[in-house]
Amino acid sequence: MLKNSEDQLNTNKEKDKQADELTRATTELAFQNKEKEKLADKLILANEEKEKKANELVRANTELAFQSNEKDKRTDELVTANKELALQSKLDSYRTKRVRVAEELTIFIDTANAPIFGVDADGHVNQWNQKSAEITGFQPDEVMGKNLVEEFITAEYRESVNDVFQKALKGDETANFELPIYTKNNNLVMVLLNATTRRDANGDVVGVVGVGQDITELDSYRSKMEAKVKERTRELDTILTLSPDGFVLVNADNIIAYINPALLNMMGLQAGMFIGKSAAIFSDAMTSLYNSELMENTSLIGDEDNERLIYLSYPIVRVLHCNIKTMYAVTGVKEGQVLYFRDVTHETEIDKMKSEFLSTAAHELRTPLASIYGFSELLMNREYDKKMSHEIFETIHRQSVNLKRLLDELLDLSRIEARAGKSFHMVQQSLKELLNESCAEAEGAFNGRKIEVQSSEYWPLLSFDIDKMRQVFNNLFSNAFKYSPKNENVILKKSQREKNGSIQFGVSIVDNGIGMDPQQLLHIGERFYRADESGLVPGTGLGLSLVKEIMAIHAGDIEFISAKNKGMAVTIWLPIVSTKLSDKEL
Amino acid sequence: MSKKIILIVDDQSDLRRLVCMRLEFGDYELHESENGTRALEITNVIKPDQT
Repeated sequence: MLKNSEDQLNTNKEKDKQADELTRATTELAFQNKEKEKLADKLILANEEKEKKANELVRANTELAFQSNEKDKRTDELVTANKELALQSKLDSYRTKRVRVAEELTIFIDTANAPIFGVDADGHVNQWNQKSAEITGFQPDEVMGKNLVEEFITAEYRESVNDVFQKALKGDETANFELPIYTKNNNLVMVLLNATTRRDANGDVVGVVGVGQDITELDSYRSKMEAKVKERTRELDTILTLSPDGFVLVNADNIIAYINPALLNMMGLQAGMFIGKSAAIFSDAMTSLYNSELMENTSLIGDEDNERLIYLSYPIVRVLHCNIKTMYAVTGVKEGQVLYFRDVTHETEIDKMKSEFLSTAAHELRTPLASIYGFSELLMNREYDKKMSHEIFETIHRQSVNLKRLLDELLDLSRIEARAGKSFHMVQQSLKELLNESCAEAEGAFNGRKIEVQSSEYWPLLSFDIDKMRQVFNNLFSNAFKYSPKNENVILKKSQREKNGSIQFGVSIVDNGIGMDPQQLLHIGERFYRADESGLVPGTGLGLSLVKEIMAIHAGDIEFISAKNKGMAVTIWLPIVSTKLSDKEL
Repeated sequence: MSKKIILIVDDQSDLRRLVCMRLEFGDYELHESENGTRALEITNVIKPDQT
């Protein structure tokens, strides 16, 4: 039991120790608690401090926001201010510009190459540029404030110019108005004017500005052109009127615009029937004149250009060459048609005559040739006695002479025709000498037959070609002898007459031979025409053609008076140069 | 057989004569006329075989 006590003591001691320790622990805990409390207090304090700081931060933030707001406001203000400033400078430059433009405009107006002038509402001049001064000769100080219409416009234009100004004053502007203005030295200048209304800044009308263009030159050019056109028209009219050819002008609407007198004459109709009427009327009128045997009744006026011959029976027989041509404007638009008619009746006739002449000439040349050819062939192939062969030779010779004469006369004729008298050597003398010679020659050629001269010794001065007139008399005398009985004489007479204001000297050769009936007389002088068809009388049928040609070139006449079997009187007429004889013959 | 009868018509006497002389050697009866009217008259009388 000690041990236990000791143990007990020990245990007590331990217990005390533990209690002490517990007390110490408790004290420690309490202390620790106190410390903890102290710490908690400290934390609370710290928290309070934190809250305070947070509050302050919020306040600071609010302040900051306010401040930034304020800043924004300032910026806006600044922008506005800047904008205003920009506007201001723009306005300034605009103003400068406007001033400059106005200045430029003034210079421009003043120096413009066109007359520009202004009048106020009362018509008084308040602007007058250099060109206006140049054109009119009036300086600005001479016109400013004066009434433009009253003082510078020609009387007959005053009213119309006033109208234009009044209209412009009401806002109604006029363009391209021709205005004659008097210059300082009283010349008239032509101005093409645009009248423009002039308004002030408020848009109220304060006057009129006239912008012009000097068209004096243009106007005079135009007048010149008009005069030229008129002259040309007159020329064309004269030409078309005088033209022997026919013209019809049909316009684009197929209406007859013109028809010339020559064509109307060809048709035997009046202009009034056609001018302004449809082209079909003309075409119908023309077709009604057609020679129905040679022409179909086709219309003249078609779409296509063409050329053709038209044979007319009315009013007289005519052949017309018709040419239809369409006129086109520069733009290619059809402007109308021209119908051109040429009377080719004569040419057609000549053509016919030429071919007739050729075939007749060939026939006439063949006749003597046939004899020569035939008889010479006979002589070659057969034997004839002396008498017979002599007869044949005679025939051949006679026909050769015929042939030669034919050819000579043909050549003479064609020479005379071709040269139309240029190869004639005209001399001035009387026919006395020539007629005496010709008479003697003819009397000799026709075996002592006589030419009885039955008039006084009157020999006026004439102008003629001696050789050609000798040919005339030879032909006439030989005709007179050939176609009259072998025992009869030929009579020669002289006479004088007045024809177309000129005095003519006549020589008549009268025979008592076979003569000609009226039908034959119509053909007298035609080439190869012979009234005697028997062939018993030698001749070519060209003699009188030749005489006719020669007389025509002498400006003379030839007349035939005859009846069948009652003889023939041929008279040739030559113009008298003087009733006195030439010096040589006196 | 009788001779053939021929009528020669031409306005030129020389040509008629030429034809006559050509035909003389043949055995023909020859007649002449200078124009158509006369030729018809003769034709009625002589009745030529050839004209």
